[in-house]
Amino acid sequence: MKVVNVVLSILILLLAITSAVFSYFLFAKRGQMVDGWSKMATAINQTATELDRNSGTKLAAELTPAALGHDQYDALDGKLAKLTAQTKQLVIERDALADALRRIGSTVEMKNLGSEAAFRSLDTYSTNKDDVINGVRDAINRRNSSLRNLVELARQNLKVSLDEKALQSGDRAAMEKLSGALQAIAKRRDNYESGLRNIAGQTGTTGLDFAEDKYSASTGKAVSSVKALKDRYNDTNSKLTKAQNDIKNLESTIANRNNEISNLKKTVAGRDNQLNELKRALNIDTTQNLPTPWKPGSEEARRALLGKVLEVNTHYGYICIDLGKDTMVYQQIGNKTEKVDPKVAPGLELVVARGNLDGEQSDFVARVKLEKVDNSSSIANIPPESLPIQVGDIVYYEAAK
Amino acid sequence: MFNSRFFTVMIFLTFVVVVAAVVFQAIEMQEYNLFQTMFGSK
Repeated sequence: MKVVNVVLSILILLLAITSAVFSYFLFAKRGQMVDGWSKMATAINQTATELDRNSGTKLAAELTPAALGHDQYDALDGKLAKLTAQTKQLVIERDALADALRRIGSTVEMKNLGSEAAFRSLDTYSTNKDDVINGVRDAINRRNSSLRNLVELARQNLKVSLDEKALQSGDRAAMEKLSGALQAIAKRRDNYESGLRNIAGQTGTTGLDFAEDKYSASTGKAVSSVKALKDRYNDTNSKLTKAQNDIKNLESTIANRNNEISNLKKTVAGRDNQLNELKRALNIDTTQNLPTPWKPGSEEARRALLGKVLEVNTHYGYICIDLGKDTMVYQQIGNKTEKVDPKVAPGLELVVARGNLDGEQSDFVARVKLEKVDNSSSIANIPPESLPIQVGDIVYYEAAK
Repeated sequence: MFNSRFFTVMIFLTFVVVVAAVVFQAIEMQEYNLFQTMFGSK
């Protein structure tokens, strides 16, 4: 028993020494851990202070080192949760701002725009942010340059003065000034086209198309048609001038002819007087027309021919008629008798009849053609299948029907 | 007194308690890696 007690006592002493050593190390460790807790609490408070800066929150006031001490362990979960929540909110805000910045860069059509991750990453966000700022600045500069050029072009070409500042600020009234000038130009152009179509229509040219690719051809067509009309006008003008000159000449000629007619009328009047005197001399009524003297060889002269068959030779088939080259006929003009040569010649066709020509009883015998004509007689062949011709038959000329 | 059974029992119980205390301390030491610190510094 005593031995057991001694052994147990020695063991207890050894264990107590071990426990003292362990206590020493544990005490040191506890000190470290307390210090570390305090440092953590301070770091959390500093973090909360930085998170509160310009955020409109007051989390640092809650998460003080004292409030986060090891003796406030029970409230630790609630307090630390607030820090996590605020950090999450700030991350969301950062992401939103990064996306907004990226969209701004996309809106101004920046080239080589960074990815979403590049705008959020701590390493690359600054470079990308500067790129967006530069891109927006470039876009604004380009816009201002374009507006400046637009204002200058409007001033030079359209004689319209635009306010560059107003355009930069998007003033609608400033742009409407330009719009008004352009509308006026468009209206003028439409009027020109309408006028050209009208002019071309007057010259007979239709279907003019003033689309962009056909404008030049159509105006050329209109010009050509007007030129053609001008040429025709000039031609007509010269013809008119010539016609007017011809008319003047003709009027002059007419005047001369009128004078001539006047003179001829006087002559005709004189001749009428002479004719009347001649009529009176010829014992012809002055109210009657003077018979026209027969011309030699005329139908009238030949109709006055009247001869007789002198001889009929049936053996040789000819007859002899008492008409010849010297045969004359007589035309009664008033109280004068005019001798006319009927020009009896070979080839003259005569009719042989029997009976009294003055009466109604005369019979047709034959139609003969003179073959030979002497001074006082002529010969004609007896036509075959004719009635027998007798000496004494009458021979006369009958005009062709 | 030191041969009494009571004393033995008391000693034994004390032994057990001390062992338990040492064991708990050893476990805590192990958790904080103090054995490595202790033997590493030696």
